[in-house]
Amino acid sequence: MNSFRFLKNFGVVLAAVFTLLASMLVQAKQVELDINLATPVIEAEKRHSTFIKISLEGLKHYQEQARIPANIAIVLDKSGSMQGEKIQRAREAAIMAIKRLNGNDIVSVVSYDTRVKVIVPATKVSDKKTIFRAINSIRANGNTALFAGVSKGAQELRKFLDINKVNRVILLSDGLANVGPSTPQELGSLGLSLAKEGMSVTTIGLGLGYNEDLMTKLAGYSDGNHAFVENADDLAEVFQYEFGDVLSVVAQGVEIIIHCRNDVKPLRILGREAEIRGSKVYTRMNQLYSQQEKFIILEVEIPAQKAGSEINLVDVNVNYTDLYSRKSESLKSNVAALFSRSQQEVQSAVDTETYESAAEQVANELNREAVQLRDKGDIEGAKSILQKSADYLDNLGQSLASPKLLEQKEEALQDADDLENEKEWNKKRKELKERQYKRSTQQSY
Amino acid sequence: MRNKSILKKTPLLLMILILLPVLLLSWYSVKLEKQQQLLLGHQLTGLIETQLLDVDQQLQGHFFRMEKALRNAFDEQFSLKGSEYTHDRLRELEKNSPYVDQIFILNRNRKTIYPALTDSSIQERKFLEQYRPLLSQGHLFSIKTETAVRPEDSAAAIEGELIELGRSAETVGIVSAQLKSAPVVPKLEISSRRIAEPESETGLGVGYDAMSDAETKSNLPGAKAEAELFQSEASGWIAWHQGADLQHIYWIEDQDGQVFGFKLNGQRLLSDLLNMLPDQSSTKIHNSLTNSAIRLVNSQGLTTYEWGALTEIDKQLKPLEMLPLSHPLGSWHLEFYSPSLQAPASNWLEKLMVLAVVLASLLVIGWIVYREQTRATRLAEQRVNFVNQVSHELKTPLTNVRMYAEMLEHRLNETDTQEKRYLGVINSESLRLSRLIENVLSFSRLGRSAYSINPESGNIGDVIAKVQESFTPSFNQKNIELQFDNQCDRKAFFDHFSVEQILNNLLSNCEKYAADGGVVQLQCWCDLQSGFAFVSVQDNGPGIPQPESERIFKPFYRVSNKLTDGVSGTGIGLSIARELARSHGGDLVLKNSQSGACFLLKLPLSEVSL
Repeated sequence: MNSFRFLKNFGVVLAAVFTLLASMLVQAKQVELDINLATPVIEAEKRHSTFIKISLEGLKHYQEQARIPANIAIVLDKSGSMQGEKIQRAREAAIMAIKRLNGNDIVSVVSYDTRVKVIVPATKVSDKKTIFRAINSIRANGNTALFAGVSKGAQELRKFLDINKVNRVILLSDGLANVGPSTPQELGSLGLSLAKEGMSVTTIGLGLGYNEDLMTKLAGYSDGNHAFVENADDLAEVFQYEFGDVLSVVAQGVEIIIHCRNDVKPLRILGREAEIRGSKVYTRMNQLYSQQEKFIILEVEIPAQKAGSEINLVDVNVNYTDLYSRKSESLKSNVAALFSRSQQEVQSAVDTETYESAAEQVANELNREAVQLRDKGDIEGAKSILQKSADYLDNLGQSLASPKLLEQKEEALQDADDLENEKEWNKKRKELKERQYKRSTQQSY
Repeated sequence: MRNKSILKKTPLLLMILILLPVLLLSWYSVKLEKQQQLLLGHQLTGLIETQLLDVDQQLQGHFFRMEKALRNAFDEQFSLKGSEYTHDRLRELEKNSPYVDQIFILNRNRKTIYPALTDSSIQERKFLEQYRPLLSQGHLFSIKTETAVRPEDSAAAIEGELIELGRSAETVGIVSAQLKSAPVVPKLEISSRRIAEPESETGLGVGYDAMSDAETKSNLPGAKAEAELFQSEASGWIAWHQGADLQHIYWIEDQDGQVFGFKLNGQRLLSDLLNMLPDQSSTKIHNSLTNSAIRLVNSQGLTTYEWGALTEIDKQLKPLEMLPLSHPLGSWHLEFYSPSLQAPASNWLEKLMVLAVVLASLLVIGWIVYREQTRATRLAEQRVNFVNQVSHELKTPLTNVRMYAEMLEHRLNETDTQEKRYLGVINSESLRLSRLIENVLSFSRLGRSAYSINPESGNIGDVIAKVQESFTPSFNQKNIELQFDNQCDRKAFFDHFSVEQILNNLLSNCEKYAADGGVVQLQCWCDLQSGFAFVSVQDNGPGIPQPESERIFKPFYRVSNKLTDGVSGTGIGLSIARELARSHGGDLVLKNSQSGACFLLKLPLSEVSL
């Protein structure tokens, strides 16, 4: 911190420098913290709102070291609708995924229909044949007791729950939960509780019959992944991606605490759940993956400042558990902004990449709103929001010269068109929900 | 004639003999089975109840552990506070506890002081809004009102209604009892706090083995001490319906009169409760309760969880047993389903087999008896037929003998006394023979009910005279004097031949047995009042002892004594005589007499004579 103040006195104010130094500080660590301002130079004597991107990246471990052991519960829907090819593919996908595990990993398999059955109680993956035989014995019929299934899956994880393992429930469902709690809020609430214990739930929706709100809420609150698999043939691939993610976790229990300084007011966090209390923002991620960047976009309001002044906007504290060193680590950083009267100076200083990420999230939020309106039957309203989003993306894409944003604009326009297609809406909604989820959580697949 | 009907009745009797024990046996076994079923039913109901109660106990156990853990969390907060609970620490707890959603604190006057409206997050504001109706009712968080609200009321909880049940004097008793019975010391850590020492196996783990049950009993005294401590402070559970959701709040009143409340994460609580219940791979429903399932049903009547060996519960199937759960899950209940327990697998087959075997063996025995009996009857019948046939064949030559003997007698001169005597013997002996044959034939006819009499009006005296005449030669030979005293001047209605036969039989008896008596008296008189004619035959022989007076009329019965030994006889004479008399509407009886035997024949007088 003192070093930053020192730098400040010298007038070296570019955020990039801070970032560089911050990254140098954490070099020895498993996680890299970057804080960037979309507009490092801000027009003076005017109230402004801008975006701060706080990004965390798990680094590739330099040692050829044994990877972090995983503790995985696979929860399979075997309700009547899964009959035939679906359950067969699900079994195959689960078996293929488990093949990637080794004797240090722990796996359990739970199946549910109207009732719940623990097919494979939590066990070390040493006798794969027995596990596969048990999985192959799953036959589909009955209703969907999703809540109880996830509960039992979590219970299996608890048997070997360990902060130094990757604890994950992988839920596959193709239908609506109809035994026990079944609303997205209820499942989200359960997900939140599991997250506090260090477990995350990855939800895979198969086909067109599942409740995408429920599945994204459950994954979202517990910081797992979410995927929409329309065709059972793609299940194996998704399982492979998911296991790839699970096996590349480097840090867990990531707490991000942001203190806004100098009367900067936090407005909102884009894409993720966060608690804003006064000038303090708190959010968490369950884990960070190796070589994957996860970020949060914080929108802040900055009071008018004198030209030429330079003030610190936010201090960020990050706490996490390093899975390799098995130690609790923390990172600290801050970001400052420079105020100037010159429009040109402001324009030229814009951090394109950060702005791009922020815009992506803003558009993503608009996409959410559009879906909400469409749910209420207001197709016109939804379309106008998507149009607004497209305009916004177009505008920024042009000025930032970002092909990525322009691409997203095209996407928004396409979405607006698809809104009207009543027949395809069910599928489209699942796609949208999945895309929104992946954007907001920077999911790798 | 009876023989025939007996023959027909035999199979019937046998059937009764066979069926009666079988029926009795089956009736008894049915009764026994019913009793057993009833007993079994009671036992099953008991078993089911214990099982459901067991589940309830388990769930209650979780609430107790939860309560302890919450208390520990509270104690920690309480011990750390100076004059105020530090909000940061409270938030830390909320943030890290998987079980608690929100903490709230009410001051002495039951005003909410945490979370404060100022300096609150969106979630906290939402909570305050949703729970205002609850938090504004300060009396819910004190002990006084609790005694007024009974746990039973909780079952009748309606949506949106508050249910309060704290530790009333009564429930405290229940609580400590349960704490004693369940050797469970909560290892539940309400917050999965950050690890200070990452190397240690605990850390996050503290929250994990939360549900792992019992600890060693050595910890029990500690638990008791804590329990005592608990009672010094007021606390309670509130179940509160927020929309469709059942939310749970646990509150403790601290020494300053402030209320410290935990709003639990309802879904997490439910998840933990479900995790305590068995899944399909470990369904340990009692052995005798196979093929059954248990359902956990929430306040809206929806199934929350179900398990059991019965894989599918038919929609029509009604629960055998329902058990409302204890507070704070009062509006929920357990349902026990089984399609087959009403008729538990009984040993009907075994019983039926026994019955069938008994029936079969009885039938076999019955059949053998019946076959033996019919064979015997058939043989007897064949013999009778044979005798009949022979007797009949004897009649013709005998008639010829008699006829020619009589013709010869007419031709004899007065001087041929020797020859006449011989012929007399031939005559009387042939008469005797024909009487015998007549008896045999009558007997067989009576037996076949083929005997018919042709009564006609006539003078009995004439018949008696005729008989007297025919007996005179043989009586003379044996020096018996036959006296006849006829006092009947009326006509009687009778079959001459039959009455002749009766008298023949009676007199031949006298001839056989009373020859020493010397005198046989025949008397005949009429009784107009009764409308009968009477004939008495009195001899002066040894007589017949009183006990035998009826038996002598039975066929083939012969009095056995010195007198009768060595005297030939068929034993059917008296029997035929009586049958014949009775077929006239009269009778033949043995009268008491001072000496010898006296038979009295009663015959109806003809209507004209009356």
